[in-house]
Amino acid sequence: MRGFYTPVTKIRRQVFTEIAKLAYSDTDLSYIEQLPFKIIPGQVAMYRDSVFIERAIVGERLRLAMGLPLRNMTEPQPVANGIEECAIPEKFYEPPLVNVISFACNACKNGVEVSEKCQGCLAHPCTSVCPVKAVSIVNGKSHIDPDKCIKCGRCVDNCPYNAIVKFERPCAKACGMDAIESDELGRAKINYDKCVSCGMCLANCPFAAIADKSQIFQLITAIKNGEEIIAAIAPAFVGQFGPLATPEKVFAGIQKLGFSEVYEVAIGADIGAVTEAHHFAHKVATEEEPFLATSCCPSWSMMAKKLFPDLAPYVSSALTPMVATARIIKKEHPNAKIVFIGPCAAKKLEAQRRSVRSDVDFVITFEELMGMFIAKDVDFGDIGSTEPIDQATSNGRGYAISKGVTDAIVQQVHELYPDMQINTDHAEGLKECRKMLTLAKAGKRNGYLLEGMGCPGGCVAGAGTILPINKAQVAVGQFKSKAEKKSASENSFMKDAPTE
Amino acid sequence: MNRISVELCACNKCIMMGAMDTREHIESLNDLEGLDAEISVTMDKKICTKEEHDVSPLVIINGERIEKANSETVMEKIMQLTKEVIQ
Repeated sequence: MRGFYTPVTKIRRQVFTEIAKLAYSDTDLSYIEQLPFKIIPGQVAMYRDSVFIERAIVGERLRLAMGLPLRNMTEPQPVANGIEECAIPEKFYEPPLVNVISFACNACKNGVEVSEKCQGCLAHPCTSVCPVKAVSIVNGKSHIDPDKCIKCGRCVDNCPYNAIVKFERPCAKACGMDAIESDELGRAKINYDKCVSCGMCLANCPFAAIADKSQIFQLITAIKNGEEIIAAIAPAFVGQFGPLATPEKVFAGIQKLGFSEVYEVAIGADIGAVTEAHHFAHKVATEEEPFLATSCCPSWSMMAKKLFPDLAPYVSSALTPMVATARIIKKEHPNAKIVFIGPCAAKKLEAQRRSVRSDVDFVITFEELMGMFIAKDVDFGDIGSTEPIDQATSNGRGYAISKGVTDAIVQQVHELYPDMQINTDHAEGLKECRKMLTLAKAGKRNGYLLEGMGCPGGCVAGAGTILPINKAQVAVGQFKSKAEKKSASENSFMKDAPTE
Repeated sequence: MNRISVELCACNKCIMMGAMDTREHIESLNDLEGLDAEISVTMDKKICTKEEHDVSPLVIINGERIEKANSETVMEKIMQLTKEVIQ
């Protein structure tokens, strides 16, 4: 569902904006009961059978945006149930991160069906290509035996009238971990043993039935509490907030929200590129290890560790750009709370890891940040002249785009080890990443640097982004070219780089 | 060649309510085969005022305001204008 502004997008963004407004105001928290009526006004349903169901779903989304769990819908509970507990100036998180709102789920099915467009043609190639003889001609039309059909799609591909349709549950199709299962009513259910919180299911559900938990309420509460809050913004931020929002104005806008400083996470990317270049030279080029898999995308590295545990030692142990940047900031500002602002849900889970919890205090997405800008009435058109940003290099800023990590590490290998050869491969989307690791497991990627990105297109395609992917890639490219320093090793923060 | 001028408001509220996706769809019309029009799209300033934030996204096509615009409404309007000018 990327690249389209749909009612799903609209509701999601209204929810973030309203929760941010609630947090900034001093209104009683019970006001949350009125928000479903504000977001879904009137008496006539706009999107579903009943306006009451629409409001109940919005109620669940509001709870998730507050960080609260879904309600048990078999018991009478107000939307505000438990809200006092989560209204705190620090992270409030109870797993799971990504949630299916069961009664919003359409219980979509997978299948292959013959439509009325079937002409009952003489050739009927649909029968000839079926490997399990599931297709036959009944009453002059093609017929598929659902018990035999293995949903290979060959009949679909070969029908001259496009009369056979293969349909897949969108959330399951988007999931690279096969983590979407069904409950007893056929509705989507996430297998959390498999899920890596990449967010692709929530970005692809056409019924707005999947959402992740947010931390904006607690973040705003911490800001209002007068705490020192510092933002670390991921390299994919460029262009996300519209044409008036130059990178410099985004920094200024974030400070208007109450953050004391803003750092580019590309600083941490620079550090990671140099660290991984050294690792490649010392371990892979010497054949001590078969390959090096990058670590910056948490969905990819979690997938690798879950599905290919024997390859886990070859996933880089370098600090992710988020963590490296947070540690640099904490060194300078030990009492500050660090907020990672990024494109994806998976970083919220990464920040929950025991080794990261003390480094990153909050994680929010670009969409959630935009909700804060609107709630606080910060508009980029009103921001005057700004200072140029000169924190990170072209290499680090390129991490936002697929293959950008590879390019940065390769450049470092060439600079630091001029005679060294480096082979690379990269994959986008967890399904493709799995294929790449399968090849690696078979020994076909020995001596390689492997870059994996959970989102097709890289971080600019994350579930929490606003800008269409192609435009975001261009914007990141332009910001890269503006960096005064090109090579990661030139970054002035390198001397303070945390090592572990 | 007919010229159609489309202006999209670039305020935060309009961006949040889908203005950038709408721009993408409008620009894609230039790729339509047989389109005898040049569609110029600008999105470089705030158009709606604070008081009228509930009109987001705001689009102006050849001087005509379209409030709460979405891609289908805007594209239909542009295509209508294209035909009107041709006739």
